[in-house]
Amino acid sequence: MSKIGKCILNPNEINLILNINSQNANEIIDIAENLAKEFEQIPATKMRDFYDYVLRIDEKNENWYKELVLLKPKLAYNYGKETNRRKKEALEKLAGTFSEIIDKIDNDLNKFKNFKTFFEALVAYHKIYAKSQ
Amino acid sequence: MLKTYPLKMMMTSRIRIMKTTINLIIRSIPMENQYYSHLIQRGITMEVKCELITPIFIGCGEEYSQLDYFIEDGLAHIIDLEKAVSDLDDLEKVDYISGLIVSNIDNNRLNLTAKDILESVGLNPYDYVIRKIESEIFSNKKTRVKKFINQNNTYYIPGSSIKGAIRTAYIFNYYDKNLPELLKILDDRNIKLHDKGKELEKNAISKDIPKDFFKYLKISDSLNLEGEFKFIHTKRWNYRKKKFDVPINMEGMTKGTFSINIKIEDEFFKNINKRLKTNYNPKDDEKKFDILKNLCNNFSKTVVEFELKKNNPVYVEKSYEKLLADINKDDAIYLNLGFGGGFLNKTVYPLLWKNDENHLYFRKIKSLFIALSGGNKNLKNAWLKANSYLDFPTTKTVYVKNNSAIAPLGWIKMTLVE
Repeated sequence: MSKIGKCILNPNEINLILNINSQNANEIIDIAENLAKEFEQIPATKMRDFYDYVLRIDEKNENWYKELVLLKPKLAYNYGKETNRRKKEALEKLAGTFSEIIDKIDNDLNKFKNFKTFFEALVAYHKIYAKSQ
Repeated sequence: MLKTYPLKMMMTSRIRIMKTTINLIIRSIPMENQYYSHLIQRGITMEVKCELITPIFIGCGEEYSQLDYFIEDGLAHIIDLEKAVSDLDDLEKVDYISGLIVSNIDNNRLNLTAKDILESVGLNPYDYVIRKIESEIFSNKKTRVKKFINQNNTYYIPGSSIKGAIRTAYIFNYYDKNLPELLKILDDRNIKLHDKGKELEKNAISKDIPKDFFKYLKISDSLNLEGEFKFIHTKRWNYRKKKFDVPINMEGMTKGTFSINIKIEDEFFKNINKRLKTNYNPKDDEKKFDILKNLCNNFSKTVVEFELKKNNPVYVEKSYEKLLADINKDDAIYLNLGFGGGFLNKTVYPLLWKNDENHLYFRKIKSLFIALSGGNKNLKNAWLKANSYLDFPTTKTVYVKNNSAIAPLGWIKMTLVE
């Protein structure tokens, strides 16, 4: 898979996100909050749009992973359209980070479910830190 | 024994019930319903025909990027890129497209078109064209184009835009009669600089939102819109330098007509009378329309006269001259749509120019606006150099074709349909 954007999580953090359990939950929450700060320039509604897209993916559909991979060009598209420098930088980080996470999910449904749980926390924190709605 | 009432009282009561019933019906039926059209003929709402005098642009906050269109043979092909990508079964190609977009950003500009992207993975871009539109933008330019407001890819003119323009005209008329109030607000140090525009509006209309009497003026979105839409060039003309500044590309409506429905309740005119010290008491649609015409044309006439005092490009000058001649016929409403900016950013200059011919207040106004410019160095420097109200605004967006400024933007003519 090609690199898209700028990933700001290390491999260990991605591994934690995709393998949530009671022992690492607090650490994952911290990751979510820190990421929300990194993405603060992305409008809250736009972040919510990405999250809603993920929620609409039907886990029972055999093509669920393809639908998830399509989040990459969606993120790239929004990055490509953005003209505000700060927003663009934040979108580049989002695209790069999520691209890496999606690649690591690699058609594993349990990892996808964990990603959704993480994304929910991220969106909640982002609502607090977002510079605009 | 049943109580009896005089016949007149009974008839009045029945009429009131009938009016209430009709109002309830109006609120429940779609605007374009034939029955509603029947009600129009009965004078419940007036139908107004609108015609473009110059190209107009009403934005929706979005724009076409190079990911959304490509231009061939003078036509912009609008692409649904997301649909195209979702048709890919090969995940490697999905990744390739994503990487292609991100890696081809140079100085915040995308060096690809939607066509390039789709062809790179073997898709036929023409299969994903959702609309074609004539383009005056050259195909070798990869630029963003501001999007005209639309709903499900159908263009329309929001009633709120027209109402906003009428509101601006009213505010102009108010301060045309009450200039000291304007100066007082501008000079009031208890009002924060950036709140003065809002304060001026509140003072002219109402300080309480529930009492805003413009709620009694209701205007539909456009109906029966028949127009020519194009990708067009516009540029800011710098009056002082007599040259173009910033190019802005837009999806503009260059020709055409549309209609709107206007309903004005009596309370609107009562408030106008109170604030403008007039004695309007319109009995029919024609008289109601005439009152709006007076308000709007007083404003538009001043704006055009103000513009004609500036250093306009020759074709723009001719356009304004013709517009002024038409306004002076007083046979329709002439209104400017779509180019925002609050009262303080736009309308105040021709107002002051009209009312302060001897520049009695100019120094005070100048010092206020220097303070208002805040951190905007360009604006501040412009005010420091200003010798007249005509020095503002410093630029004007104009429609450009074949590298020539052709016309100002946003002017429409409105006539009552009998």
